[in-house]
Amino acid sequence: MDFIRCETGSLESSDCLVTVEPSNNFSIDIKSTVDRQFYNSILTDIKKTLEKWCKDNNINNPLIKITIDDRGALTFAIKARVYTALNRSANIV
Amino acid sequence: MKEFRRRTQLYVPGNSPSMIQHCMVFGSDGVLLDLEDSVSIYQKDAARELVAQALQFFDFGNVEVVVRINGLDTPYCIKDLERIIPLKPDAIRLPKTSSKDDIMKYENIISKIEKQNGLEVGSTKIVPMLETAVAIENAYEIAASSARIIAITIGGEDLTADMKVKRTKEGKELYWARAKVALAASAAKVASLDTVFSDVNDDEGLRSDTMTIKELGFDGKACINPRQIQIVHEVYTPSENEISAAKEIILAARKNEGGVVSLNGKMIDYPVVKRAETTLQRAGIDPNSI
Repeated sequence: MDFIRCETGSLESSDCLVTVEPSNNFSIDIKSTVDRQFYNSILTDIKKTLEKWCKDNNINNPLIKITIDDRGALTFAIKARVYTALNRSANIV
Repeated sequence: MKEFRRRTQLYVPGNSPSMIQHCMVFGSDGVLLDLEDSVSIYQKDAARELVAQALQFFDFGNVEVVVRINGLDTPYCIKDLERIIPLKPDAIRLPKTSSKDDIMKYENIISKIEKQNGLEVGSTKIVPMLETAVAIENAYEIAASSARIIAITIGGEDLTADMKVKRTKEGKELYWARAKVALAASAAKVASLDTVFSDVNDDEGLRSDTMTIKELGFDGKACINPRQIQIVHEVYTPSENEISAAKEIILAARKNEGGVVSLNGKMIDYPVVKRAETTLQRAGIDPNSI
């Protein structure tokens, strides 16, 4: 599957801006206003969402970079933004 | 099925995490998670997924959770229904329904999705929005067209645009349409919900508008700002005197086992008792508890 660079979300309070782009290696880059307390939680949310998205779309080991610029988003918002960014990047509409 | 008071339904833009995560704390009887007018066409996918995740994440408590989807005339409608129905919100608000045929189209789509997801067919409740002149003319036909319908609602902005009239604060242009919707809802034994009052800075205008729709028989009204909730509730909440009088009426009627009885010189018969019960219900009191 081909990926293109796509974004979802915003930099407003309680939201996050998620970018998915093609890459030679898989990676996740987290920047957050609350990373000292919630880095691991954000990482888990991203990984779980990616796992579900891969299962839903029958995709293994996508070569992408996921970047999140988080402004204190709760789990529901992180999951939604990551899932939508993956859909957009893979052109699943 | 859960029973809800429906004095206020707070519109919440479906692509705003901050508004969604706070929407249940403002005290409205219901929230309307909106995928339609408050979401740009470039963010329909993002809003759909955000609302879907919110439905799985939050405990909305006693707040009725309704999702307003995009209409049948858009490419988003089916996707909205496919994503939202399996998550079982309390109801789905259907914009721009103009006829029984529209409801039948929704019926077929919703039933199919229910079957695909192992849900009981008919379990998804709907609230058609009447937003065109044709819809108002067909109000009863729409309200009585499906057992899924729990309420009908009037969309004032689109309706006045369709009628080519200006929407005013006094609302004379909506009087007939509102009366017809409230009557149709009563005839079909479903709730009637009024449109929004657009000026969030005009408290007295909102109070006056709410008094009008209460007198017409509406069960409640949509709000576009949390500040509007308290005012609508005040209008819909009976006074202590009204509550005491209603209790007296019900006790007097009960003593007489439902026959006609006189209380303080006034005849108490079935319609009077029925109104007294409505008064207590609006005050959040179960008439059977007194």
